[in-house]
Amino acid sequence: MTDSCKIELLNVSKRHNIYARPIDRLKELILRDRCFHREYWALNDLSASFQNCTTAVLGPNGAGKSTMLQLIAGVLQPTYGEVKVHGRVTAILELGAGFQPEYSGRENVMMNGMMLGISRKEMLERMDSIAEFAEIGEFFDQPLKTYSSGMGVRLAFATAISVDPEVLLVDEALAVGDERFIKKCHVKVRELQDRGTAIIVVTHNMRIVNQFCQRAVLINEGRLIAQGTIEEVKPLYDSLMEETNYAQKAFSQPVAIG
Amino acid sequence: MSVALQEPSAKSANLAGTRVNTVPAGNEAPTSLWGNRNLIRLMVQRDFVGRYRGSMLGALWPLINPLGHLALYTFLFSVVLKVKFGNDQGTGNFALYLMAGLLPWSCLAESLSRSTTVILESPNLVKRVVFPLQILPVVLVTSSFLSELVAFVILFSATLLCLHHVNLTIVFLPLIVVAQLLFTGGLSCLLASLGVFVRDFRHFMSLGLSAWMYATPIVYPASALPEKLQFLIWINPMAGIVTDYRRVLLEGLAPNWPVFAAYATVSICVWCVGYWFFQKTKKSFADVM
Repeated sequence: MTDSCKIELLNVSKRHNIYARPIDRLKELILRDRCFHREYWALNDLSASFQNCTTAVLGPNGAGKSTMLQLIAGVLQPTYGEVKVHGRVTAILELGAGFQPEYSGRENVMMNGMMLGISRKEMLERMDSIAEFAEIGEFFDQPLKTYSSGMGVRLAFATAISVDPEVLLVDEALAVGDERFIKKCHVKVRELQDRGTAIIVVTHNMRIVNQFCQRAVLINEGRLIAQGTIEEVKPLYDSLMEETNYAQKAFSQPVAIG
Repeated sequence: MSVALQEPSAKSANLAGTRVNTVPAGNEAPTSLWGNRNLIRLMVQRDFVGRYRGSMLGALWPLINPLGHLALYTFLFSVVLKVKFGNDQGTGNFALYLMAGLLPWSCLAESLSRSTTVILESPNLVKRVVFPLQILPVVLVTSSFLSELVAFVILFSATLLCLHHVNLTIVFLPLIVVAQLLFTGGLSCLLASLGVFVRDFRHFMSLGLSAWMYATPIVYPASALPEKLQFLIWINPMAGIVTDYRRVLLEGLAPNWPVFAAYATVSICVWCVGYWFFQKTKKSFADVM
């Protein structure tokens, strides 16, 4: 079990310090013993592990799912605890994240590859297949700001999967583009799965969960509720969502929701 | 509303958080500039070329800008105010001296004025991905230095035309340039970081830079400073740098070594402090943006 374990979170807590003004952050860096913020614990003493399979991260809004992905990606640092990652991580955290609007698609792809430590030469070799997969045609050499949102997402997805990730993080972005492109992505995801890539997906879409994921991690209010196979976790998730629904209905005015 | 406000259990609270990756990617070397040289090159290229792309005069702009400023200042200070450099009284001579001073200054001014907003302009790179942010101020300085190189070619050709020879002391120029770049780079890092926390800096920059420019002997010779203000040459590294540019390029003299030692020391300190400060504060950028 442990040797196939790609990612481990050990007693991880993440505190977001909320500052009223930016300068308070600087004051705190310099005057170490004084406090200029309010605290918010996004993750609270959470331990979880991810194997070489596709894992869904489930939980209601504000549970800390995205914070968890950001910690694994290394965008955020844990306040307490330890995050262990084995292998190259690529993330599709938000659509077109890390892309520069003024740069052309080609330049953005190159930059993304370099940020992941891939050499210029290697990226040049992959450039054609990325352009082909993203299907953006001659826009590839136009600035990113001229792209439609679909094109941006396709490029981000094509880049992320082209660099042979060992760990792929996807934050509610799998459903991109038209039916045909989604099919292509699914084929690609299956390929990655066969190669032993650990994929972690944050989604509310149960169809994606059922279709791709073998395991699930359920969190709520920054704490781990359950982890295990989909069959084990799904009932807990359903009952949790029902509870939250009741709670919301009890507190808010009745609103027509489609 | 599900808000977790309570502290985590005391057991884990003793350890500071860590994240380890067994595969060090390029971004896992967050202190390295050399490791990110390809990325720096890509962004400099992009910044320098992209700045003029789409403009009608395109590649001519790096030439037009320094020449335009030169004409403007020469008219104002030589023709109208009759400032003189050295023994030669001519306006052409003034233009050469002015240009030699404007070279390092415009590199500094351009870097610093852009550095206060360089982080704020790239929220994607700060909040969404693991990006070696320290290269952003370095990219700015490198790009500004490229502009300076273009202007240097103009100055060099003009010197050849006017003086009919090249001073051998030009071999000392790289020494001065290294000091100048360390100074500019260090200040850019410092301002890039401060600009995130204190938004007022960017509004202060144009005023501050103008004041600094007139406190530096750029549009007048260093000897024109009154006796009481001569100490400025020693405490303002740009004054020493500008004066030494003129000495090695136009006067055929070696740098003023004691002054060189002073500003080289300051430059190294400024670079170390600026870079250290940036690295220390960069993890907090995401919190305040």
